[in-house]
Amino acid sequence: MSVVAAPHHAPTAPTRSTRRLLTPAAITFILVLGLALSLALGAVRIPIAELWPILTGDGEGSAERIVLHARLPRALVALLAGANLAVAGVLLQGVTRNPLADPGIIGVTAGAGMAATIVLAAFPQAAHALPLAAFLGAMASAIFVYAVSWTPGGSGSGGTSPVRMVLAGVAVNAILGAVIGVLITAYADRIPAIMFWTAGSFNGRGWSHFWQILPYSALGLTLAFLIRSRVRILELGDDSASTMGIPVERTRVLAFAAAALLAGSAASVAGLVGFVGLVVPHIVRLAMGSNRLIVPISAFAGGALLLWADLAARTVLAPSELPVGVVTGLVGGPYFVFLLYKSGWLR
Amino acid sequence: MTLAAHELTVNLGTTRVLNGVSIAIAPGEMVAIIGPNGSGKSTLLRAMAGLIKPATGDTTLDGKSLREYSKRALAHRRALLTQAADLPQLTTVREHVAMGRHAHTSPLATLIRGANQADHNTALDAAMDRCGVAHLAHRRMEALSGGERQRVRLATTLAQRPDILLLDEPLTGLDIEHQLSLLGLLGDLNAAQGTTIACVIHDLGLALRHFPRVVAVHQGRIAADGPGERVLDAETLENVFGVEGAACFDLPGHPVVVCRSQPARGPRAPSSSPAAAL
Repeated sequence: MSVVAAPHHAPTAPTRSTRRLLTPAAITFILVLGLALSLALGAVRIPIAELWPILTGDGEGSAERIVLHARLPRALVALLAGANLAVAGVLLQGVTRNPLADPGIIGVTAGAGMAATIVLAAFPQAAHALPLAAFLGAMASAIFVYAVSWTPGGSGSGGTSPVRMVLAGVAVNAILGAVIGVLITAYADRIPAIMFWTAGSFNGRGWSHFWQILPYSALGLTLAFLIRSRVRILELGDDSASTMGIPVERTRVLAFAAAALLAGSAASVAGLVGFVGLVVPHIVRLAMGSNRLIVPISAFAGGALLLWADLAARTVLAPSELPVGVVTGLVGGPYFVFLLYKSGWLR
Repeated sequence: MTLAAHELTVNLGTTRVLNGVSIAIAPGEMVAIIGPNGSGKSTLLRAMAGLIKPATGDTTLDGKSLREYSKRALAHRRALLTQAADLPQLTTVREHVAMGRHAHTSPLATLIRGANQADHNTALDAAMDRCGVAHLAHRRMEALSGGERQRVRLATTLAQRPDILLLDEPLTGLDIEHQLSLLGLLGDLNAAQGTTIACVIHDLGLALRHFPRVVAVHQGRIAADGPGERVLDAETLENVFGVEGAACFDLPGHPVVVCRSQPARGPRAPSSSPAAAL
C-alpha cells in the first residue's frame, strides 16, 4: 500500500483546543464563585465586598467569626473532599480499566460506612471518634479487597488483575452491606443518625476536620499526579505496559493506595458522598474531549461540585439541611445524563 | 544484541507450555514463528520478551539474563506488539504513540517540560512517519479502521526505538492489502535500520515469502528451524500442522504453501504424542 501523504488536516482541532482552554477556566470560575457564595450566604448574609477584609485579617465582630470559624473551614473541607473523590475515581477507572469504577468499587465506601455505623449504633457516646473510625474502616476494607484480588501466579510474578479487583470489591461490598443491614435492624432507634451520615454532610465541619483531611489530600493528589501517565499506559494492557518499561504491579498498588487514602479521608470527614468519584471524571472527559490533565481538572471540578452541593444543601431548605449526597445526585445526575445524550460517547 | 532462549521450560497452571526450548536470534535477523494454535508460539514470544518467569532455563540478551536488566533498560532494547489491542479511551493517535516514549521520558518530565521535548517530538514524528500514520496524528483511535489502528500500535512500539521488535500475530484481522503493507514495513525496518524482527504468524505463504528464517513450534518444542523453503516441507507440514501440503515455487519470488487436510485421518487429536510427531 502506498501511503498517501494527506495534507495535515484535523477538522475538529480548533474547537477541541478551544474547549481545552475554556473548560478549565470555566471550572475555576465556578469554583471561585462557589467559594465566595459559600462564605457569604447562610443564616447571616455577609456582603461579598466584606469578605476580602475578613480574609486578610481586617474584619471584626460576628461576621469575622462566622466566616473564619464556620463557613471557611466547612467550604475548604467540601473542596478537598470533592477533589479527593474525583481523583480517586480517575485513578480507579484507569487501573481497573472500568468506566463504572468509583471509590465504592474497592470497598472504601462500604468499609467507612460499616465502621461509622458501628460507632453510631453501638457507641453513640464515642461520636467524636467517628472520622477516625470511618477512615480506619475504609483502609481495612481496601487492604482486604487488594489482598483478595492478589494471586501468586503460576508463571511470572504474582499480581492482581483489574477484573479480580472489581469482583473482590463487589463481594466485599455485599458482605459489608449485609452487616450494615443487620446493625441498622438491631439499633433501629439510631437509624436517623446513621442515614444522615450515610448520605454525607458537611454540617458542623470545622478546622479540625480540615487539618485531618489535608495531609491525605496532599499526599494522595501528589501521588495521583505523578503516576497518572503510568496508569494511563496500563490501559494498553499489562503486557504492552510492561514491555514499555512500566512496573505494572507497583503502579497498580500505588494507584490503589492513593485512591484508598483519598476516598477514605473524604469519607471520614464527609460521610458517604456517592456520585462524585464515578461521574466527575466522565464529566471532565466529556467536557474536555480528552484525557489530558484529567487529574488536576477533575480535582477542581470535584471540589467545585461538592462546594456548590453543600451550599445548596444548607440554603435551599434552611434552616434544615439536606444531605449533600442527595444534592450531588439530584443536580449532577441529570447533567450527566444530558452530557451522555449529547456526546454519544461510550457507544 | 543476540536474544537467546536457553532450555526454556514454562508452565501455565499445570500445563507445560514450553518444554526445553533453545533458540538464538542474531542481530538483524528476521524470523517467522509458526505453529498450530496452542503450540506455545505466543508463550515463547512472551518469554523472550521477559514477561514470563520460566520454570527452568533463561532468556538472555547479549549474554546477560533479562532479569539483570531494569524494566526501563529493557524497554530501550526490545518492544512487543501484543495480540490483544486494548484501546485507552479518548486517545488521539499522537497520544497513543507517545505512550511508547515512556522509557525515554525522565520521571520528572511530568513536572518539567524541558530540554527533552524536542527529542521527544522528533521520535514521535519519526515513528508516525515510518508507519504512515502522521496524517492521522490528531484523530482518535476509536475512529480508525483496524488496519490504521494496527499501524499506530506498531508506531507506538517503534517510538521505543527498540533494537529488537517482537510481534504476536500482527496480521490478524487485517485485509490482504494491509497484511502486505505491514509486512513490507517490517522488511523496510529490518533493511534500513537493522531492526531484529521475530514475528508470530499464521499464514505460511507470507512467512515463507517475507522471512528468511522460519521457526516451527509444536507442542512446546521447536520442531524445525531454518530457511523457509527447508522448514516448510511436506514432512513439517504433516508433523506440525497435520495437513498434506508443500511449498510451491512456480512464481519466481512469490512462493506459496498449498495445503489440504488429510481426509483419511481427519484433524489430529491434540493428545498425539510428541514422539509420533517428530
